[in-house]
Amino acid sequence: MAKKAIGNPLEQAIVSGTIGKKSEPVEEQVAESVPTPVRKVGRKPTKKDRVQHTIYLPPVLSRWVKIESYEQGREISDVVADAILHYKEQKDATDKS
Amino acid sequence: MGYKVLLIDCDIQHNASNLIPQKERKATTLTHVIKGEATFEDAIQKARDNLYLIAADRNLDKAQNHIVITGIKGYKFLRNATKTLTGFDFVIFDHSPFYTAISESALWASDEMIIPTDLEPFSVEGILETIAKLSETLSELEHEVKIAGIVPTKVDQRYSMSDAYYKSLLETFKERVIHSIRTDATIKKAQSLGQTVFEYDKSSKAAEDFSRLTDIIIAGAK
Repeated sequence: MAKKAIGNPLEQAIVSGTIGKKSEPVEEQVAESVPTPVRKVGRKPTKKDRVQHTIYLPPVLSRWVKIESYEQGREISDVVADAILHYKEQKDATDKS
Repeated sequence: MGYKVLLIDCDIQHNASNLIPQKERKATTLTHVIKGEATFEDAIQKARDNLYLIAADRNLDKAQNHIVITGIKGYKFLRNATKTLTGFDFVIFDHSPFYTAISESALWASDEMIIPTDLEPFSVEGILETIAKLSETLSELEHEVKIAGIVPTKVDQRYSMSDAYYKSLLETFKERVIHSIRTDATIKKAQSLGQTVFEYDKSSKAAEDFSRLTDIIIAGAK
């Protein structure tokens, strides 16, 4: 996981008497429709293929997805898209039954 | 003071657990609770009036592995479990001197921390390292913990170097350094008998220092 800019921990500890960083308010930026990953082999995805989202993950999941995508040689976006697609397929199947 | 306190021993050496003699201690420990084999309530045991204990045992390393394997749910366990606890004014985690998954989990559950430090060479460097490491972890967890105080311990005024180390600590951390605990044989004697310093000798230097330290921390918490 990319290390967050934590400034000067010592200065923070002395001046404000705190260690760490409070979580920022979560802004949900969810598109109306679930984008289907339509990546074509051999070509870098363009803006048309994908829609940008800002998502917030728990630290442990964030760390995991970063390592997983690195080990698989894929982008985090692709791993997340797979997960959402998997979720969507499961949900569709449940809704039909 | 009348505050009801729960002490959770997060150290595999389980020294704090000796508040209750081994024979009288519950077999259910923090290890069982973290592994989901028992509830918090199962492990809580009355140690003194208004002082309750969740003991540790030598299998706490297995609980650490459980946290790592379980992932986010494991790390958040102490935070979620202590939030649902009722009836305690303070919940205190006694940390291991080593950095473990349980330390991270306990930090995530904490609002404030007390950093004790022996007055010795490199104590300032040691705290700087600790703060840097804690800052890294807590920032990743997006959690902020207030420093209730840096507490110099084993302060021996007979040694001039103690004074030099204390000044160095004070120059670096300023008002974050709070009341010192002077060196006192009472502490070890009390520990060897499984007693608190107040039980062993309430007129001792240690009892006086810890009492003063408690006043300062309570005043800061209000």
